Amino acid sequence: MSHIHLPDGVIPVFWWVAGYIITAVILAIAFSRTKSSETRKKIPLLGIVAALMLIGQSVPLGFIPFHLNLSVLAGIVLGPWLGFIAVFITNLFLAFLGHGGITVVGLNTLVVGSEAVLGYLLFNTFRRYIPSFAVAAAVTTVIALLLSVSLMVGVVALSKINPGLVLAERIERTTPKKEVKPISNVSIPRFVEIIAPFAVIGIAIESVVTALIIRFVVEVRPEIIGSLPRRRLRE
Amino acid sequence: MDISFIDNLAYNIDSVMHRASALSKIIMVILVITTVIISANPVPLAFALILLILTILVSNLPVARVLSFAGYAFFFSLIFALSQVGGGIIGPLVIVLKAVTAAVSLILLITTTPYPQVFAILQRMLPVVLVDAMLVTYRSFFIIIGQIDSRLSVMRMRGGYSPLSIVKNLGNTGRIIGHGVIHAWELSEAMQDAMFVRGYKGKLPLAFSWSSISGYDIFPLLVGSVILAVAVI
Repeated sequence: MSHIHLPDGVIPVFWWVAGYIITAVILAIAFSRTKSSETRKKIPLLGIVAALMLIGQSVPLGFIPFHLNLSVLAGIVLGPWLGFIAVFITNLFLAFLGHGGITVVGLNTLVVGSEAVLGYLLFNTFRRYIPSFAVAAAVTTVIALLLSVSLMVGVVALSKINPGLVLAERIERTTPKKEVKPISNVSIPRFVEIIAPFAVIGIAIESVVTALIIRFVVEVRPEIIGSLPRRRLRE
Repeated sequence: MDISFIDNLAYNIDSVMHRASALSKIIMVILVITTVIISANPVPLAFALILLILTILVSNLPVARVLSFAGYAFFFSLIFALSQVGGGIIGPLVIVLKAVTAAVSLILLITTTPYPQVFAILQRMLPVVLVDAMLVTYRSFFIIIGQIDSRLSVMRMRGGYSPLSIVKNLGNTGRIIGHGVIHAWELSEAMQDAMFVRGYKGKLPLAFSWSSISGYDIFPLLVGSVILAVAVI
């Protein structure tokens, strides 16, 4: 939900290069942390979850032109490292299709990838204390998305991009295109104020859908959601 | 997003661009992106865009449909451009031209090059595991989208979808995606078995060889070089 839909040529070179470098470092760590034999075994799952994310990002939901990211779900199913890799793959595919510039793939991966990493960590923490997996998934998604939106705002502030550009992306999702009006000279605090209602709607939708998916999966194939305790599985 | 349409264009149309190797077209894209990064003048950027559109024409591609894929870049760059108040027309024009030119170059690449050929080049630059996963993503996309499409059709036909009922839509969409996750899991298990039975040892075979380079490669290289040269001069 927190893609930076910036086209190429807009963001300063320093920042998108920095985004790529940091992403490359995290990917290198991700590959080194997962055993090569284990990674090889999980390639089909990694690829298929990335495909699911691509599909989720291409289907608008009802009258609200909002698409799912499914990055928290990817983190829960794949784990933090493979989840981050899946986010990178998805962003690269989207860039080839003109959905965000190729130069901002690194920054987008950092922002959306944070949802996958946090998704895994928070869900595994909450599921110990919250009886319902669906509720644990919803709480996880809310927190992960709040943090990723904060990260996105941070990137916008640091790179001194005109917030109006990122803001327009939110408005485009929630209003017909012809109603979109250019926004100029928007300060970061004002930017945050304006995106807040859209972020709340987006976070609510993603959280509900993620919770429903987790509930369905736990009912039918619980082993997909990591190593669930046996006692919880019997419940 | 219409990956299957793009796939069809890449595989089933014949032209000089389609016959050129993926390597030369990727180099062309790199040259165009370099132009986009270094140029702050609308003239070379406009020239680059016109040349790329002509290349789309020469490639026997449906120009309007292919350019529509760049609509996303155009739309957001336009908003950004219009938000730059007080700087004259040149600044906004450069922003739009940069965004659209870069997007068109990438779209030209994927509408004239089957994805596996692009992956074959990427396999030489990125970790093998990453490229293998990208290939599986590409293959799985068509399988899963077909199944989810049919389930969504069933959902609509049986009254499970209503444009005005977001809560109902969310619930049903969650179940469909949940089913998709389970199917994806089972598909991945079957795919994993198939890959190991076929002797997978950590690298999917992708057919890139230097022999794929031919005289047709001069065309995209020329396009990219001319675009960069005009920007530098």
